[in-house]
Amino acid sequence: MSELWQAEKGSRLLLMGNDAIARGAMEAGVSVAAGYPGTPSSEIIENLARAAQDRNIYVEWSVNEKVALEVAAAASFAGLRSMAVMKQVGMNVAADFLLHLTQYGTRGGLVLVSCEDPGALSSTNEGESRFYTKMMEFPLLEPGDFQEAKDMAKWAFQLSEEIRNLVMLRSVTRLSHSSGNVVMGDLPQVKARARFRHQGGLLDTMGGPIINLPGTVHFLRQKQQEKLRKAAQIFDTSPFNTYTGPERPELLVITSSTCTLYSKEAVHLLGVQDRVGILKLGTTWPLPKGLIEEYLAMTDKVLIVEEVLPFMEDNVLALATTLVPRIGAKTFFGKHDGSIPTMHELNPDIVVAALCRILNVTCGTVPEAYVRRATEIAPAGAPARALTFCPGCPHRASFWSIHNALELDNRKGFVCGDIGCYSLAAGPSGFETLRTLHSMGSGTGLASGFGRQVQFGLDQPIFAVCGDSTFYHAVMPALVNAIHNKADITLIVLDNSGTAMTGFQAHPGLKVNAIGEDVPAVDIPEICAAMGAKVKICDPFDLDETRKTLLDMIEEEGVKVVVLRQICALSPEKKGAKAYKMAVNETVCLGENCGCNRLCTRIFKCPGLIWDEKKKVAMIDEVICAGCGVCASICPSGAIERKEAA
Amino acid sequence: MCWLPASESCFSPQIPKGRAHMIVALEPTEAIRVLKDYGNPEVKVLCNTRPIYSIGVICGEHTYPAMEDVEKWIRELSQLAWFIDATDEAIKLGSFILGNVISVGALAATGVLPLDRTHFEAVLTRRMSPDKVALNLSAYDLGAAMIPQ
Repeated sequence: MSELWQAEKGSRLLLMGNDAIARGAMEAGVSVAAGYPGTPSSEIIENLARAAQDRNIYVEWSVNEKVALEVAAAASFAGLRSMAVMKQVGMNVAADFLLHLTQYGTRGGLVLVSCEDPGALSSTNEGESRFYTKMMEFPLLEPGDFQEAKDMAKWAFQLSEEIRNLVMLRSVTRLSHSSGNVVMGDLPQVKARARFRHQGGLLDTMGGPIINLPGTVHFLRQKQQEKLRKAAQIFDTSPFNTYTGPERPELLVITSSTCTLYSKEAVHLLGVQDRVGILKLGTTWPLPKGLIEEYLAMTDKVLIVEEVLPFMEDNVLALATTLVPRIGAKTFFGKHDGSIPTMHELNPDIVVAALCRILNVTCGTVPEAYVRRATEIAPAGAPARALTFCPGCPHRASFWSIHNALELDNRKGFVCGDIGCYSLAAGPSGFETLRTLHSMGSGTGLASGFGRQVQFGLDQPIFAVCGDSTFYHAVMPALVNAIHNKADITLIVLDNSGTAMTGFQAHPGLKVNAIGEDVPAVDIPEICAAMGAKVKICDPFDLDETRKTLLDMIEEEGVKVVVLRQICALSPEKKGAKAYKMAVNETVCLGENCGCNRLCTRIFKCPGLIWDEKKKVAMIDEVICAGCGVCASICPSGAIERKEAA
Repeated sequence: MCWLPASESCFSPQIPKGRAHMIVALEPTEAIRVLKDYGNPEVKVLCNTRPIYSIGVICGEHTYPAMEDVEKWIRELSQLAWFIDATDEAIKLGSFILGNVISVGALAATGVLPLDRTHFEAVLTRRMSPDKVALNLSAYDLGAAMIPQ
């Protein structure tokens, strides 16, 4: 999509929010962009990586979000405009450095993009990162539509340089991954030159060393808070805070981000444009106080619509309390009174329901008879569709072996899980093998902890799993901890040659990086051996070998690492090629008389292996089957045949 | 499921419940799943007839409904429904994935959306290599031919 950086000023493109943010950064002349893959943020770095050569940008998939922010900060310190990109959970990884970074401040404009996942559509949590801006005292911007995603991303760099501190640009799934029309701006010719000026005095924030020290903290914090006050002043007249509606609305909706679009849709659906005004805030921390006071004064009732927690609501409520002597008390609706839910993503229907209640109107809906009939039909007509591993996924094979090894060992051993596609192994598709699941690298940390409970009688075998990208991100320190503290655990590294869950991005295990450079691969088994673990490498598609290796390793003392190496079924390298042509021999298949009660379809459950209701035998779904060949090893009768594909 | 709000009076990327004008289903039971939340008596449905079995069905926990029932229910819950064998025709053309493009051709031919072949060809030409353009146009035309005019 070179269109993204070749489209001229004034041309109109249909862009995803993430495309628009990338374009905005390029229009600001960004020189360095670093991030870690995470839905819904990944396309921003991907777009910048594609443009890297043409636009002279250094783009990096860093090993984790903390390092990504450090890489971006280094660029800022050298006078370059830079961007760090991550999802909400990545913000937590970056937080330690962020605290120090924002206390001191920045030089070249630095924009921190946080793409959140309200409703946990692609996350194991519904965390929020807006609070970092309040807690660590730096500004927050929230684009309300696709044009703003571009325009505000661009402006954020300018703002950052004006106040000499970084700026957060917050997006959500429905902005990052939805598309809308965007009019392009100018793409400048960037002549960036990096120079880290550090020889000035200790208090010279633009030319001295960039150091936070106990003795300088209060000097720095005073400057930091001045910067925030300056931002607040700028925000009071920002064009990204807009109002649509009557001069004296019966109800004022204060909203931000994509909730703006839901609110507009709701007002339009109900036809209450003459009763409801929408104050859309693009600058949400610090609050534009003068502006908010102006609009609060025009009404008695206020509905605050935001995702996920009442960040804006609490800040507006606090402000409104101080304004009572001047403009009187207002009635607030939002998360605190239950008008808007405190969890899950929002949609137009939720805002419609809130407006109907507050304004005492009804909304035309689908006839009851239709709804009743659709609800009646749905259970039989649309059987539930659970998440599962893709056909041909190495994880299905890995967890088949891990699960079986633990059952055979018979000591109630368990696996501490981690983050990636393999997180699904907490569910039926991975035979419910994972018994804990938290954040990146936490599986190994927990295992290290469990591994030191022998003195309290814990005698269960302890496993942790992680992916190849996860290994570099956060597992390495936890593995050192386990080895050094003699925690007897087995780490299984599921190496599928890429950061698969998020779209197959590069990581340090590969020989090519985000911008296509040839780079040294950092070898996982070598690292583990150098740390002092016993290491074995296996192909998870070889079920017998994998099970044998696992059972052998359980018996060994000390920290063991088994690397299960097999490329992801969807890897671009594979080009969708099938290794094998699979078929079920109908005469050999025992059907429902299969001693293991239809082991292949009832237990293994690959979507490519289905059940023929008429013939009462298993069969291959040709369209779905990826030709990995593993199911041939599952069938106890040998009824599944595999032939090498032409 | 993806929403495609395509008009000047749409603001939200999510379509409000019960307000779909057209549902394009790549799989039959998915049509019913979406009709439950977004359907209404006036909705139209374009449905690919090839089932994709969920693991709940594969392992025997759930039963996949008979196609005659699925078709009957979809017609009950819509004003107009078209059923096409997009996947089977795509396999004849060379790859099952062309079923998606066949569906686009069929969708255009229903006339529910302001889509036509010239737009599709223009986008294809912009985004794909010349050898792929021809194949995709054939798939489009095949799909369009599946809708009686």
